[in-house]
Order: sequence, then structure tokens, then C-alpha cells
Amino acid sequence: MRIGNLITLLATLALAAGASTASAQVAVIAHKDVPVDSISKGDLLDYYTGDVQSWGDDLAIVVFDLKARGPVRNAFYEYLGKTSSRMRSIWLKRKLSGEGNPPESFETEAALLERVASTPGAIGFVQKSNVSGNVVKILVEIEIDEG
Amino acid sequence: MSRVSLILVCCLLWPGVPKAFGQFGGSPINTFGYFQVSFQHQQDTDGDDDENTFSVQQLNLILESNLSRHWRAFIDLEMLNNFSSSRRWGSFDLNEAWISYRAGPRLTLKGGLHVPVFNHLNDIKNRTPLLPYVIRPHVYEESFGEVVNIEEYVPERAFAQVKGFVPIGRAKIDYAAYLGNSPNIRSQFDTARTHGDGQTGVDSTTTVLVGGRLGLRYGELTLGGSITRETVNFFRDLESPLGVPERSLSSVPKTRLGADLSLHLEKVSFEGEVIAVRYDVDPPSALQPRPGGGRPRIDLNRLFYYGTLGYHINERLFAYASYWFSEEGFDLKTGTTDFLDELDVEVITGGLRYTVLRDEMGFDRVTLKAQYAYVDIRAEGRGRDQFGQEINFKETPHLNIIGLGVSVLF
Repeated sequence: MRIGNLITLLATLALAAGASTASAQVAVIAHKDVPVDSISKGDLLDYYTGDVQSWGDDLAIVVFDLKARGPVRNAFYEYLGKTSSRMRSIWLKRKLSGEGNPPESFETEAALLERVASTPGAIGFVQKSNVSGNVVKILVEIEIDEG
Repeated sequence: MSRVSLILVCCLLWPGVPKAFGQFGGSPINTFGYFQVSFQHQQDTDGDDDENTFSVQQLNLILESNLSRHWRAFIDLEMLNNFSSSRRWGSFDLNEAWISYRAGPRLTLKGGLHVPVFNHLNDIKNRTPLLPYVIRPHVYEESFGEVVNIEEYVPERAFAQVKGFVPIGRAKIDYAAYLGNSPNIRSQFDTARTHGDGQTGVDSTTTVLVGGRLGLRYGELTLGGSITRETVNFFRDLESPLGVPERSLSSVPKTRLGADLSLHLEKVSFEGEVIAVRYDVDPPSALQPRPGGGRPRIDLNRLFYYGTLGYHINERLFAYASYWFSEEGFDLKTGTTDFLDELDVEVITGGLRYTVLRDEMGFDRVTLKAQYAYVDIRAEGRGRDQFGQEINFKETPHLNIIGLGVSVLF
């Protein structure tokens, strides 16, 4: 019995340890028609700051964002090297200067995923585990350290 | 109906306009704006000229429409200082009315009235929700427009601009070049200098404003250099008192030179600028040489710089400390005059900005601002001016200013 308990305890500790170092992933997703299969961090930042607004041909880049704060959104902007407040400042400057509108943002990842899948030129980000099937392209995968 | 009344009526009727525009198959019109209300306490260290005042420093109404993927139209109406046409308070300006064509990141063309790019702050100085100040660096403070000649330091209006950026590795080279009117705009208040009566609001000369900025962005570091060149005619006021032929001082080249730097590092930010204004006055040969044989000298040059260091205490609270300095000098030395008029303004200031209400997009809708400023002014004049009068004064007032403000984005 004691040996059984010890094994159970060790197994529980092992699982807990595994869980604490496991990491989820954020997927940068895009509509299936976008003319790229991967994207650099610099290009992604240019798209989200509005510096670049086209995929290089006549297809406009449509940028989507998540409303809720959380590990997915935080990981995405951390990957871009910008704080949320800095991004807001950049978007507000663009809006008040007439240079562009901030990204449309969504309450849920499911809603964002659906809009990316149905909007030509769209790009967004969700937790990778929420991407199922073949409705969007995954351009980048970003680790979220949940440890 | 006066023009101002007509504009106000148009604003009131505005909610019905987007639908009407939609009937023509056009893009919807976005209507938004912002205003800043403040209380300012000003105390002269001598105990004179103390003031307490509330004011709507600034209200901007913006109408914007994406006409197509590449074309965008933008109108910005600006009211300053509790604007009231009946009481003749403040001002109501058509601040911007332009259309732009964005060919791509490397090239955007803009036509129509707009605030041109010059240094870091010029084209955003009117966007109060972006700025932490109750009182902006004084050569950029629009609500001081009746006492500080802002356009002396920075270009406020251009009519054609090309801008964009060119990526070079991880850096971006920003450029902007623009054309506008010279400052010689015919006004009903100043018909003598601007070639008599005629249509107001238009340039009364054949000269133009030419300017631009070249900048570098690398990560969160931004720096650049700016220049404008134009020709002014207001030195003509000196022709008669100095006894020189008419039009010998009617075209004086003016150059503004600027440099800016801004940096964001985690929670810390810094921005700073320098502006130098030079008038290249070529003294007329008819002027008598100065006693001792020196060449006559007519100078009206200006210098301004500021630096602001900021710190994001948390997501809602931002603190900053800032230093501003400007100097102006009118130096008139001829055979009959020997006059120097100087004005230096030094400001040490600091403040807080706190976000009270943030919308679901994360934008700050209601922001409280508090600012303290210590202002040190030195005004000095000495010598004999162009009218032969002896001038000798020196004033060194010091001011303490406390400003409390609310900035609202709607």
C-alpha cells in the first residue's frame, strides 16, 4: 500500500512538473488566399502598426485583434516587442492623423478565427489548439510559457 | 449668414449627412473628435497678474471617409479657448481638409490643407489625446496662439505633400516633402502689408513654402531632421523708418531648421526637439554704415528646444518631467539705429496623466492631466530704435502655473 501511494505521489509530481513546463502556442493565422506561407516578425509588426497595408499585389491586409487581455494577446504583442499601451498609442496616432483605423477586435478567438477564414487578406492570432481543419493558414507559431 | 454660422449649422446637421452620402454609393463617413477642458492657476512671483481660469482649451471635430482602398478624405475643424463668435472669444479654424492617395508604404500623396511634417511634434500637436500635457511646449501650444506666434517656429499649413518610408534592413528611412503658401497671406486685419484689399486667406506674393523631413526609425528609436524655406515680406515695415527704397526689404528668405529624437524603452520614454529660425536679411545698400564703419545688421532669429522624459508607472498612470527653452532677438544696427530686443522663456515642468475610462478597444476615452510649470521670462530692450526712440527696459517675471485638465476622446 505504501509503495502504491509512493508511486501515485511520484506520478502526480511528474505530471505536475510536466504541466508547469508545458507551453501552449499562439498561431498567427491568415486567410487561405494570402500569397505567403510564413512571415517574419518585422513584417508582422509592419502589418499591425499599419506601416504596410497590402500583401504586395492588390490584396489589402486586414488586421484583426482580440479584445480581451490574456496570455494569447500578451504573448502575441510580446513577440512583436511592443506593449499593449505602446500599440494603442501607435494606433491612436494613426487614427487621429487620418492615416488608418485600428484593427477590428473580437471578444472570442472563435469569432476572430471565423472572420479571418472568411475575409480575403485577413490576418489575426489565436491559440493554436483552437485552429482546426484547414480553414486558415498558420504563418507563425509563438510559444506561450505558462510556467 | 456669416461663414462661421454656416459652418456651425453644418456641424449641427451633420448626423443626417452620412446617410445622404450613402445614397450615392459612397463610403460611410466616420465622425469623431476630442476636446480638452482645463483649469489653470497662474501666479506671478511678484504677486501681480494672478489668474484662475477654466477653459475649453481645444475642441476638434473630425470627419473622415475611406473613399476607396487607396483614397481617404479628412476634415478637422478646430475651436480654441471657449470659442464664441458672439463674444469674440477664441477662434474657429478649418484646421485640415485634405485628400490622400496611398500608393504603398513608400509613397503617399496628400493634397489640400494639412499640417505638414516637421520634427516629431508638429503634425500631432493638436491631437490632445496623444499628449500628456495640459500646456504643451509653448511654441506648440495652440491655445496660446494669440500671444505666441506659433507659425514663426513651425509650419502650420501646407497644401501638397509626398511622404513615405524606405526600409533598409531593420531600419526605416522616413521622408516627407511639401509645398504651401508663404506667410504673406492677405488678411482683412493687415491689408497694407499684403498688397492692399482683395481676397483674404490667399498668398499675396509669388513665393511658396517648401519643406520636408528626413528621418530614421530603428525599433523604438526615431530621429530626424527638418527644414522649411519661405520668403516673408513683413520687413517692409522697416523701409520707411530706416529711409531705404520701397521693396528693398520686401523679400527676406526665412529658414526653419529642426531636429528631433524620440525613444521608448520599456516603461521609459524620451522625446526632444530643436528648432532654429533664421532670417537672411541682406541690409539695403542705402543704409548708412554703422559708426566705425561696420556693416548694418538686421536680425530676427529664434531658437527653441525641449526635452521630455516620461515613465509609465502602470497601464493607466504616466509621469513626466520636461524642460523648454526659447529665445528671440530683434537686432537692428544701422547708421541711425542701435537696438537690441531680446525675449528668453525658460520652462521647467512636470506632470501626470491618468486614464479614467478606457474603451473595449483599449483606447483612452477620458484622461485626467495635472501639470506644474515654473516659467522664467527675461525680456530686455536697449538702444535707439528705428523711430529714433531711446529704449531701455528689463523685465524678469517668474510664473508658477498649475494646470488641471480633462481630455476626452469621443
